[in-house]
Amino acid sequence: MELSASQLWMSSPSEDIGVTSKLIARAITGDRTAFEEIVLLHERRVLTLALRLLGTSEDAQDAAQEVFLRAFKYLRRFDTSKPLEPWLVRMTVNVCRGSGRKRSRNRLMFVHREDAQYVDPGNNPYLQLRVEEQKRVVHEALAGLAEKERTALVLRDLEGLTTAEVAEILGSAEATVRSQISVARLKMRKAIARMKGGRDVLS
Amino acid sequence: MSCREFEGLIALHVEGDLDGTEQQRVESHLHGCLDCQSLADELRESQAAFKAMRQDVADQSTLSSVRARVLADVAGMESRSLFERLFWGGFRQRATLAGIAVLLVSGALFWLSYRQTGPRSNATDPVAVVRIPTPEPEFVVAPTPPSPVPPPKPEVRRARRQTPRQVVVSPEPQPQVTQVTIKLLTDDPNVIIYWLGDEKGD
Repeated sequence: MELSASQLWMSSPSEDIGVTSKLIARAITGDRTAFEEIVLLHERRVLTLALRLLGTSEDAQDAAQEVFLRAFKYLRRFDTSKPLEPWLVRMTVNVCRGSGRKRSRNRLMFVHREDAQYVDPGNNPYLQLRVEEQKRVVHEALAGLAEKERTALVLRDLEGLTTAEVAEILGSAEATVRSQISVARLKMRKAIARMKGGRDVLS
Repeated sequence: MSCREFEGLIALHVEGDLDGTEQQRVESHLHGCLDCQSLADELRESQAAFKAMRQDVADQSTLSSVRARVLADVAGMESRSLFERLFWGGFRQRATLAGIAVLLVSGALFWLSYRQTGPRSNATDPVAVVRIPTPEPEFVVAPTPPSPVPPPKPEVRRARRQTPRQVVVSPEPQPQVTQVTIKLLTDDPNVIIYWLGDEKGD
């Protein structure tokens, strides 16, 4: 079973701007439960994106925490006529990019994540091993990309954003992002093929 | 276009990221190029493997942990904010007002005292004129031996430089002197040369 990008993009029901603006108004006046509701609505999206961009659960949790604290701090400046999620996604990307620069190259390796919920491959141990191996290969290939290429690829292919949306979030030209996505896909193909020793990735 | 130039477009084509014109160009190329067809197949496979990561989502316990940390931090920020509003913010406002009051009172007192005592003497003469005396310096001029004017010589010979007269100038060490007068005695007692100049010789 594969979830579509839109399902993952909106892991919570489609954001209601009216409800969100009311929650923000309450949170600004000091209603802590309102802010908790905002966190509940968007935490999965923020944490999952951070996990995909940073590769380790520990770093992703730190990044998600930072994102929500920034959101709380700057909530007064937010234009409540717009949806909140793109604002949080942009903030998550910025926090992860800043966090990624601080980390050493060694720590950037995407490690196997015990906290992730994988699709159950059944009781077939061979199939389980194959799925685990495939995940390891993909994570390592992703870790080998340049930061901008990785971010563009994750936002486009995993988060399901359009190229224009990715360009807006990254503050780049659309043509630049298109080129980054293209290069990243070619690099991923090459890295995955090399790590698999020329064997078919999914066979 | 060569196959290498098509690679980037094929990477976009496999996910439907090309517009109509580009899509047609790539498809027509793929139709007749086995190598690029193979590349497109490999790209589709690697993209499928990559997109399988969509299934990796954060679990509930991790979400709860992050939420708890966020809410704890927010509570801390709110309490700090309240403290600042009640104490530190008020303190700063009070301190600013007190400072302004002190400045106003000081200015008023100074102005009153100035009005009572009036301006100090010589205040009406803002420019002090300093007159520096320039006494006449004394010089001791030694007599110089007679030096007859040489007769004109043939043009082939170089003219000899006249021996300068020995002049001993001993101005008194007065740093304020700005003008000096040099008296030169010649062979003729009726001819005396006076040279007026400043200390630099100008």
